[in-house]
Amino acid sequence: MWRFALVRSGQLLLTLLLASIAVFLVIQHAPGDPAQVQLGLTATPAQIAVERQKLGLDASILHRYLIWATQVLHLNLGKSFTTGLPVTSTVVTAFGYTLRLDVVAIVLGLVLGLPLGLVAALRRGSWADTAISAFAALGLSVPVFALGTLLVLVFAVHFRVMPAAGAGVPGQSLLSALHFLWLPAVTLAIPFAAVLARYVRIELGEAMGEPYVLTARSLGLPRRTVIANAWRNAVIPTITVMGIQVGRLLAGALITETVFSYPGIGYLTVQSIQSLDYPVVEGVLLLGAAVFLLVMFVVDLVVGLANPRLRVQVR
Amino acid sequence: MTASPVTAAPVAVRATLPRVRAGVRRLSWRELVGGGGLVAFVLAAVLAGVVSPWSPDALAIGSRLQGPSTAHLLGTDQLGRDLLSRILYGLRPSLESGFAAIALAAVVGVLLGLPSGYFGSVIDSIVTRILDLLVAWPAVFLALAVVLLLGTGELQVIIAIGLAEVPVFSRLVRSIALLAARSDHVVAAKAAGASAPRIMVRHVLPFVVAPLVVQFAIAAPQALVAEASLNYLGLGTHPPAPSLGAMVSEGQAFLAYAAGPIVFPIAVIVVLVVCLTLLADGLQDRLDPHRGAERRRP
Amino acid sequence: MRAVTEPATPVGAATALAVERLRVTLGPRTGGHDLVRGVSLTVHRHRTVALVGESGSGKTLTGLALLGLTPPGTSVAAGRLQIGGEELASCSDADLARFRGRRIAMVFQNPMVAMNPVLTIGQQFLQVLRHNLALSRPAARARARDLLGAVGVADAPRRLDQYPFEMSGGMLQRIMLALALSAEPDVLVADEPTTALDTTLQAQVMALLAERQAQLGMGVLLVSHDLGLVAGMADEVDVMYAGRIVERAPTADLFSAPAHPYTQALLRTVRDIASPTTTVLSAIPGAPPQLATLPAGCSFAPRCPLAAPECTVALPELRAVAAGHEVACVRVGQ
Repeated sequence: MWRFALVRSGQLLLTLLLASIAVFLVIQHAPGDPAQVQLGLTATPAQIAVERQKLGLDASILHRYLIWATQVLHLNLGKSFTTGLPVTSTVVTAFGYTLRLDVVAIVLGLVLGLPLGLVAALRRGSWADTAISAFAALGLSVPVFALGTLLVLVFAVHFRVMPAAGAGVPGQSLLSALHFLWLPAVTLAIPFAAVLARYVRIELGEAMGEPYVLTARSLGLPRRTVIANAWRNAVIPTITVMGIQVGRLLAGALITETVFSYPGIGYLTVQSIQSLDYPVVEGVLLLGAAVFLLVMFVVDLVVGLANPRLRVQVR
Repeated sequence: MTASPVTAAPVAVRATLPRVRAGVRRLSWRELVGGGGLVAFVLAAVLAGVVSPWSPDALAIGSRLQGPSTAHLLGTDQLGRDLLSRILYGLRPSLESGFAAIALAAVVGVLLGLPSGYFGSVIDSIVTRILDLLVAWPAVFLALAVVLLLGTGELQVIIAIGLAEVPVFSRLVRSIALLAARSDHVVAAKAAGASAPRIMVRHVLPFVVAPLVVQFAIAAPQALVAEASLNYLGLGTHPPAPSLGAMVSEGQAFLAYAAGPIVFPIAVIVVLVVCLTLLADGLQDRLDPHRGAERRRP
Repeated sequence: MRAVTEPATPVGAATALAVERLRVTLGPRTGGHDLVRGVSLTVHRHRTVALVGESGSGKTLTGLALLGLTPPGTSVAAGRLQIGGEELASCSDADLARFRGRRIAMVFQNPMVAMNPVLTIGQQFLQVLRHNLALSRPAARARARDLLGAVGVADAPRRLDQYPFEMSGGMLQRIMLALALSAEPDVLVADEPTTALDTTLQAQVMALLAERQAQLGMGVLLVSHDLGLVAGMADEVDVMYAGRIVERAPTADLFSAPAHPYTQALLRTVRDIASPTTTVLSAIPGAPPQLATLPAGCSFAPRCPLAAPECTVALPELRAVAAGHEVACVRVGQ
């Protein structure tokens, strides 16, 4: 197990390094001269040349990367072109909003998806199974932006019970903050629940057909114990799928946050790309990659712990 | 336990080589409904110029955000343009980009996966590393990178979606090529002195066809959703060219006044995606009866 | 070969299992078809009855039905079911669930997949012992050690902390046997218990089964297609064909004087394999019957060398031809 964790940590660091290089290269080769952007369209070529030197744009690419990477490690990503605020604090604030939204969405998704998957797996072929499978298929087919706008249409425009956009004002009560979270959280939770229900149905359904289930039943174990035992096998692959979903959410739910103009990482990403605000783009891409890779790393460790074959190798 | 859960292959390596089992079996209801729907949508897109009652860009400021009427069967949008016409024209970029993206992914997937599985060793390691990098972060990040480098537009959307789908196709092809490379007739062809490219094309590629078709069908609805989403984010076609995703984002600001401009495009996208999903399930049952339809899609 | 010198059904021996007219039906009650078609059998304490036949004859399904473990989509009915001297009201899952693991237990074919891969051996024992015997955790662990010792597993404390994948098939089948016998049931159904094992292990496991039977006294229903194994283990052999018992006899009688043409054919295939000088294998001609479309009369008639017109008239019932020897064939004795 320790060896496994060590190897995965090494892989994580390597991938993070590659990710940072990728982000750096993408930004370097993006159209638009940062010096020009910084100074505006009225700048003279001489002014731009000075600015380029100030920004270190005329050094070699390796040199520029090392300078840039050092700054990144010091959490210094410069200032936003559009707001003039430090990128780090902008990104951190946005991530706070995303985290808050994702926690609600993940809880909703789990509460909805797990029981549906369980029922479908344990009542294969019943009307409930058919209905749940149809829900899961539809939840995966309907694009997130469509689901979000439809929810806005129904709950914000028609019934006027939910705000259509935003996250409220800073310092508001928890309850009013939640008020703004429901619609985007449900938008994120439905596809999450659909994936989960689908996976639990398949994995638990498969586990319930394994010979060890027949053995457990032949030994007189009660149904609850038999299901719990099968679940311990089914949960291992389910964790992986869940982890990928969570990683995606935390890296920024671009579409959902855009639908609801929710000031999280995803919305910030879209906004910064549309306004060519490269320092912010760097920040969100780096944070997104780091968070996603970190979640995947944790998932691997959890799966490793849940899998006795891997755990036993260290003994 | 795979080394990395993100690389969970959508199609498992099978112990035996897949064979095309198509043929005379009757069409299932999934294939009929899904295929029929797809044909209808493709016809509507191709014939948009003929069947559209209005030009998709014809403005009529006096009749903005109208409900359905005999003149405008689905009503008008915020600029008074005919919704039905815009939806019909908007189907074009959706279908074009969606299918072009998967075709791109399939071609690149074959080019990477075939030698990777056939030769193994160094080539395989290199290809696998490249693919691991592609799946190391969410697909939407790839799309953003493409947009950052190449700007917005339909071609960029195709590249972005195609790039995200390459690993799935490449792994699929690799897994089959790996088995085929050890099969008797490939060994025989080698002994007879055939060149590696020739063996790959003549003796390995045929085994890949049926699984590729199935994977193509599975990826199609996903690609369409991705296309509409990128257009919704404003990263695709440039206005005023109609696209289903852009119509929804444009209509959102006027939701309080009219629901039609978002409801109708959404309905079309959802029905289209459901048709493609049904078709994919049907094809999977036909070409790969040993695996349940549900096992494949991640 | 205890069976040779002892009568098959000793007078006064307690009945471990008695079932009459057992039916397993696939599909709906009307329109479905029977996979097990009215099987009646009795197993006494300390005795072993072997259920033999080709795959698809319904022998495994008969064993599963006794525990209420038939696959989904099937239903079970019986005229009478008695386990350990207690009559069951019906073959419903609720009725049988009370008996499973306590009064009747089962050992399966492949020990490598029969145990839960993510639970340690100890955890699996604990679950069973605590539920069936209401033992405390320490008491259950102590009992598990004893049970493992009784099936010849050395170093029991260490084994309890291991996972199934850390052990060999032979070891797992011993552990499986210990689990199944943990509540000292009246009946043990052993479904091909050694088929997945190496030949040397087969003998060891069967010897262990006989030893535990001598100690605990349970009746064993041995489901097998391996006639060699049956000859060494069973007191009585019931031959199944197409969901019915076609011949029943004390083991020695069955092997020395098989009466049913199907049994005779079955035994010939074994003898051919046993004596390599024979060059022609007398495999039974024809294919096993389709249970959905059985002909009228004797199900074996289409493949039977002795078939006569009267064979296709009515389903032959079991009738005695010697002491303890019953045959379902109208041609026997003609």
